[in-house]
Order: sequence, then C-alpha cells, then structure tokens
Amino acid sequence: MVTERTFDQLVKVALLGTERDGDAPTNGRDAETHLLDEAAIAIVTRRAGRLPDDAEAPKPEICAPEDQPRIGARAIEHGTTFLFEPKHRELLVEWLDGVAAVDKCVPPRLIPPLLEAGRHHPKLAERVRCVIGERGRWLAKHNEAWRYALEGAAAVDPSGFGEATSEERIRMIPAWRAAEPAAARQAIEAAFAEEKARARTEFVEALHTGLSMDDEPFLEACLDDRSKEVRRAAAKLLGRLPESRRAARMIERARRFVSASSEGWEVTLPTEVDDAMLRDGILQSDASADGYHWCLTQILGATPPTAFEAGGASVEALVGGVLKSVQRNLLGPGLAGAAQAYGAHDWVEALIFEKVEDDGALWSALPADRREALFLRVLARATSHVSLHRALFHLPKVDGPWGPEFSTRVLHAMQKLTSSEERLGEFPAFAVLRDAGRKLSPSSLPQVTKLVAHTPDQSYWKKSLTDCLELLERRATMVAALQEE
Amino acid sequence: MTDGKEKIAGAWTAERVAGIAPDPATVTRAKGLAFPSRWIGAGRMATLLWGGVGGRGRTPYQVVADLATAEVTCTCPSRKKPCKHGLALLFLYADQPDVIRENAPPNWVEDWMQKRVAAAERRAAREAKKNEPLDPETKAKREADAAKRVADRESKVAAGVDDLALFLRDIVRQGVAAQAEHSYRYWDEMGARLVDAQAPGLAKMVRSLGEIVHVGPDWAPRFVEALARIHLLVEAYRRIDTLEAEVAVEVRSRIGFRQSQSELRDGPGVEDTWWVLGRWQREDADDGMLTQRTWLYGTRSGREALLLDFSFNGAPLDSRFTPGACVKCELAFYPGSWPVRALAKTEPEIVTRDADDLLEICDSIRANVERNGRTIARQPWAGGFCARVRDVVPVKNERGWALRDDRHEVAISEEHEDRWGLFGMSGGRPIAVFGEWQDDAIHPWAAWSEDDGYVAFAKGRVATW
Repeated sequence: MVTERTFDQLVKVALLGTERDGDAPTNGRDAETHLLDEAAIAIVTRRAGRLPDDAEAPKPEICAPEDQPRIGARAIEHGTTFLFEPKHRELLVEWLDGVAAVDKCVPPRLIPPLLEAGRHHPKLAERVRCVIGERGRWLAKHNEAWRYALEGAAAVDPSGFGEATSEERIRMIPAWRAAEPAAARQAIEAAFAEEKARARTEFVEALHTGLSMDDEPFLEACLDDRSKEVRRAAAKLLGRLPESRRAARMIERARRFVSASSEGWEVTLPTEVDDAMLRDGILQSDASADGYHWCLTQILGATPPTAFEAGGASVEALVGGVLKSVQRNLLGPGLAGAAQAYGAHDWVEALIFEKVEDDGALWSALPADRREALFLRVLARATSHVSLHRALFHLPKVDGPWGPEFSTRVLHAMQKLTSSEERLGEFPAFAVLRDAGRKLSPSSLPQVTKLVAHTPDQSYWKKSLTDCLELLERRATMVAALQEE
Repeated sequence: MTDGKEKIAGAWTAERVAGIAPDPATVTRAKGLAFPSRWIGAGRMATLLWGGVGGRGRTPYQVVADLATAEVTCTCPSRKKPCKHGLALLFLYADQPDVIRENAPPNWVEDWMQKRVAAAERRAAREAKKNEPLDPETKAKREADAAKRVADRESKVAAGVDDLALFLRDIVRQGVAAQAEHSYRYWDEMGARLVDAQAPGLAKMVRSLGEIVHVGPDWAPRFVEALARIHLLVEAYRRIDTLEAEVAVEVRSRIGFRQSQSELRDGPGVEDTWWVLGRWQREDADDGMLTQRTWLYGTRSGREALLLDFSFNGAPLDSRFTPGACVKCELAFYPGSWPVRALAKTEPEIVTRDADDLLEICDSIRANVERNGRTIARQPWAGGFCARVRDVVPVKNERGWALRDDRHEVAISEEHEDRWGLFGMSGGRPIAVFGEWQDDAIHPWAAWSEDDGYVAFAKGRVATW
C-alpha cells in the first residue's frame, strides 16, 4: 500500500468527512477505512522516525565552585524537614543561624525552597543569604524574585529607576535601601514630587531600613507633605532619631508639662493643641473632655526619655518617681513607647524592673545580654514561691536563643517550682515550657533530662516538661549534625 | 555476584525511610516521634530493630523492623502500613543510630520472629498444595469450563470490535468537524458498549476521544491521530491469527484481555540487580484512583522494567522499590512485543551501590529518542517510555524549560513542578535525568548531579509559604 497523502492532508479530508471527498483512490477498501489506514501508517511512521530538535537555547554560564564546605547528610535531612513540612518549621531560623555559625552552605537541592522562604519572610532573607553559597547567588541572578539574595549593590539594578513605573519603584526600593541607603534616599527625594501619595508613603516607610541622621532633613521636610499618610510615616521614623529636630521640639514641649523627680513626677496637662504639635504628628482626638491626657501621652511617647535625666538622680530612681506620681497611668505608657522607639535601654530596663510596664515588645527592645541579665535580676528578687511563679510567668518575653549560663539559672528556678506540691492555678506551664524548649541552650540537655526524670508521672508538670525535653533534644541533634562533614 | 560494592541492608537514610511511607502526613507524624525520649527499650540485633513507643499511661505499642527486607510491624491499630510508629523507629535509627544499641531481643521480639518463620512455612505449604495434581475428572471439567469462558469472551469482543469499526467509519464519513456537537455522553455510551463487550482497553481509548474534541487550538490533528490509533488496533485484532505471537499478545492486552498475575508469578522470571530509576504517583481526578509507575533497569540483563501499582481510598501503594536504590529481586514480565511491564516475583532486597554508577546506564537525548522510535516501530501503541539521559543542562528559552546536551534539546514536561530545583542542581553543569517521556517532552522524576547525588522529585514536594 502506498501512502500518497500527507497526514495534514488526511486531517483536512477527515475534518469535512469522506462524504464530500468522492474521488480519492481507495485501494480496494471503502473510503473511510482507507483514510484511517493511511492515517495510521502516517502517525506510526512519524512517531517512529522522529528525531530530537537541534539544541538552540544557549547554555547558562557555569556557576563558580563553592568555597564554603557544604553541610553533611544528617543536617541536610533536618533542613529538608524544616522546609517541606510546615509543622516542623519552628526550628528553621535556628537551623539557618547554626549553618551560618559553622560557616557552611546548603546543598543546591535546598536553595530554591530557601530563596522562596526568604522572599516571603523578610526575617529569613538575611539568614538565607548567608547560607546559599555561590550556587545560591548564581540562581538568584537567574530569577528576578530572588535578586534580594545577592549581596550589596548586586541585589538591585537601580539604573532603570528613573524610567520605572510607581509599582516597579516601590518594589525596587527596599533592596536598594538595604544595599545603598544614601543613594536610595537620594533617588526617592528626586522622584518624590512626581509620585502619588501611596508611593510616597511606601518610600518613606522603606527608610526604616538603615535609618540614620542623614535621613533627618528629608524626613523633616516630609512633615509638610500634602498627604496625611506621608506626614504620619515621617513622624514615626523621626520618633526613632533622638537627635532630630522633631525630638528637640518634643523635649521642649515635654519639659513645659512634666517635671521629672525621684520624689514623684509633676504633671500639668496641656490646654490646647497648636499647629506646631499637629505638624509634628500629634493626632487630634475628640475626647478633649478628659483634659488633654491623650495629647500629653503622645508628647511623652515622642520624647527621648534621656531628656528627663537631670539633677543627678539615677534612671531607676526617676522611674521610681513615676510610681509615686498621681499621673503614673499616663506617664508609664508614654515613657515605655519612647524608650522602646528611641532605644533608651536604661529606661526600658528600669520600667520593666520597677514593674511600670512589662509587655513583650519592651523586653524585645533590649539586646540579648541585657535582656537575660534583667530577667536574672527579676528572678533573684523572687524570694517566695508565689513571686518566683510570677517571675517565670514573664519568661516567654525573653527572646532566644538563651546562653548556657542563663539557661542553667532559669532551669534552677524551674526546678524549685516543679518540685513543689503546691499547684498554682493559672500558670500556663505548657506554653512557658514549650517556649523554653525552643530557647534553652542545647548545653542544658542533661539538666532538663534530670528534671524530667525526677518529676513524678502524675505531676501537673510532667507532660509540659517532657515536651520541653523533646524539643531540646531535637535542637541538640540538629546542632550536633551541623558539625559533621 | 561480581560486584564487590554490594552488601545486604544498605544504609538507611531519612530519605529512604520517607520513601517507604504510605503518605507525607505519616512522615510528618513519624518525625514527631523520632526522639529517644519517646522510646522504651529500643534495641537491635543484626538487621532487626525493635522498641516500644507511646507510654504516658498507655501500654506502649511494640514495633519491630527488619532493615534487610524493610518489613515493619507494629501493635497499633492503624491501617497505614507501615504506621507512624514503625517509621519513627526507622527515622530515629537513621538520625541517631547510636541511640539504638545492640542487644538481645526481648520475648515479644522472639515471638514475632517465630511467627514470621511459621507464616513462611504455611505459605510454602500452600504453594506446595496448589501444585499437587488434581484427579482427572475435576481437571477435565475445569479445563472445559475455562475453554468455554474464553470462547464466549472472544465472540463478544469480536462483535464489539465490529461495532467500533462502524462507529469509526461513521465519524470519518460525517467529518471530524461535525463531532463537536456530540456531548460527553455520546463517547461515554460507546465506551459503555465496549465495556459490555468485555473490551475495556478499547473503551478507554474511545472515551478519551471525548476529551480531545474541541479542546485546545490544534485538537483536530490530535483527534485524527487518536482515531487512527484505535483503527490500527481494530484492524490488528481482526487479523490476529496472522500476527506473530508476541504482537498478538500485545494487541489482546491493549484491547483489555488481562493477564492473570498469579499465573505470571508462577512463570519464569528474570533475576537481576535492578536500579530503581524513579517513581511517580498520579491521582485520577475523576475516581481518585492513585497510580504509581516505577521504572527499573537491570544491571546485568540491561532490561527496562515498569512496575504499576494502583490504590483506591488511600490504601497504601507498594513502597518497597525506593527511588535511587539498587534492589536484588526476580521480576516476572508481562508478555508482548514491548515487554517492560513487570511484577516482583520475590521479595526485593536492597543492596548498597555507588549512585554514581547510575550514569553508566544513561545516554544522550538522541539515543533515547531513537530507542523510543525502534519500540514504536515494533509496537505502535507504545508510549510513556523510560527516560534516562545524561550530560544534559536545564535551560530556559522562550518556549519554556528544556534539557539540552551538546547536540539536541528536549522540552521539560509542564507536569514537572520543580524546575528551579532541577536548574539549581545543575548550576550550568551537566546532570543526569530520570523519568518518563510524555510524547516529545521529558517528565523528570529524579535527577543526579555531582553536588547533590541522586534526588527524587515528587508531586507537591515544593515548599509553600
């Protein structure tokens, strides 16, 4: 049998039907069967004789060899679990820090999921950058969404900023600001006038990264922007710069209404909100009936607390004076907000220690060593069972990871609590111990093991302690695996 | 065995443990139990591992695992095989082998070992009984019944095939363009008729015509191609007596005559050490059936083998053939002109081999395509060929992702989700890719690179945030 029609011709005939194609040769068969015969031969010949396409796409440039060693097989398993199983993800941050600490990098297999993780979580981005090695940078160059992982100026290509749309500019700014703070701010300043309010707000908010006094003149000018959102964003950032002109104006105002003293702070309330205050970001409130409390709280929240350090009294004594004041409920939140925003660590510590304010954010405003030292002071003050119990209640506010010495002391206190028969109603043992399992130093594993062993099965503490031990064991294994080849 | 690298009970890594799990959720649960503090009396002797898990007031579940055969049993009531406890013990062993010390087995492990021996003996006895000769009368009757069943079915199928031939001719006479007006049901009804005619293979092909009609811009040539394939099978069946025996078997199996698995297992097999090149699971959107395809390659025989496994309602799939492993096992092959589909005749035993040896059984894109072409020439319905290419670099071009070697280029199937994973493994350097050909594209199931070694991909195994 000879195939005379090509497959394309056969398809054309088949589309319309053989009814309308009367005169085709049929090779002794009916026209339909003949067409199917030909088609069958055509497809088999075509499929069997097919050759692959010639290579056309250029090969990518070859990635430079890795100069950091890669983590070992067991560590790879751990990382794979953290990345691919969301339930086990709580240890990912610590694992990444661990990889960076031993100065190793991850194998190529784990890089794409890590780059994705960093893209969605800014808190992971910097850590991801540290562990992806040459291969990771090579990959980041090939995927626009992963450019953030490139170091310094390579992470951004600001050449197109001038011609870019607002959306593109908003996307470019954070990485550029992180890499080159001054250049990024200058670009923002140059483009500012032509942008809409939303983009201007985003630009100002982006200055949070790498904020310094160099940004102050621009931010000060933004206080006169025509958009309320821009003004508010600028005021918020200026509220982190104790040397700024806005801070100086706030100090001046605060001194008008408040006089600090270890014997009890004197407070007079403002009677009006002037235009200068509004310009500095004090928000109007309808509740003027309560005598401008809200106004003074805002002024205090924007005043560097160090401005009150005069007359030789220690910060702690001054905070003690807050407690003696009738307006302590007004002073406390204001001072706490300002101490946190301006990074006035002495004030943060004193406010927590004197129990004026103690929310978690305030604790987080302290660097790790001061945070641990402060908690130990709080712990040392706890003499009774009840006060120990109250102190440990605050333990989750102390961010991890905890050092070996701190871990030992905390566990020692915990032992006192768990060995007591006295059952304390509201203590969230599970939450506190689970949190501790995440933060305790792996070196304290033997101590926790002993604590669990000495706790009777029927004890209220047993399950929480076991969970804590389990988490700690898992972390200890993880850390040990990172040392292996 | 000449290969000195082989030894029983290859290394148990967490990846390998995950490979025998029934599903990802069980892996997650098992990892939550893989800590020394969860286990009571864990120990090992030779290839046996055991331990108690649970505690906290309950009687612990008792787990035994044999590292050589990957046999895992547990006293818990879970339907999953192996259950999370069994996997957890293996994870613990993989992660912290020193925690599980060499020890004398406790009584309950001894009991388990005895039961295992007894079960093997009972199985052997059953086999022996099956092979005993029957009395002549029963034997004759059974044979006569069987012959009648076969004859009945042949005539039913022949009638179905004639019916289908008419159906195809009508389509071509009226024109393919006119087929667009038929609803899904039209093709389903013809399919149902073929099922009644006991030709399920043909039924499936006809139903899939309904999925091509008016789907996508170039549906017409694909439709004509599908028609021509069915036609070829119809014509082949009508002259089956003139075909070579192997081709005839192939045609019958395509039409839907099924080979009995027990008969196959009783027949001759091929004993070899097989590389498990890769495996893929796919769920049918309509009926939820899970299909698992596993490609093997015999290191001595040089034969390709395809294992198929099906599961409904979350029943566990065969997890004994771990991707990237090398297993010693006897396989029975389904007969035909492209005999790749196979069944395990004996329990697979994992042996240790250097994964770098995998490269030796790969070749160029061109050699793969030519091999596929030769198979099609012998067996025109063949498709879904084993892909094993080396020295390829993943590249991105305007049309999408592709693999290229020095001379040729082949598209990467859309079904492959982890393109960046593949690209990252390569870093611009050549890698080897294992998987399956989907028409003109390769669907990578696994890859090998110098940096990562063998890495298996799986559906849904992409981190989400």
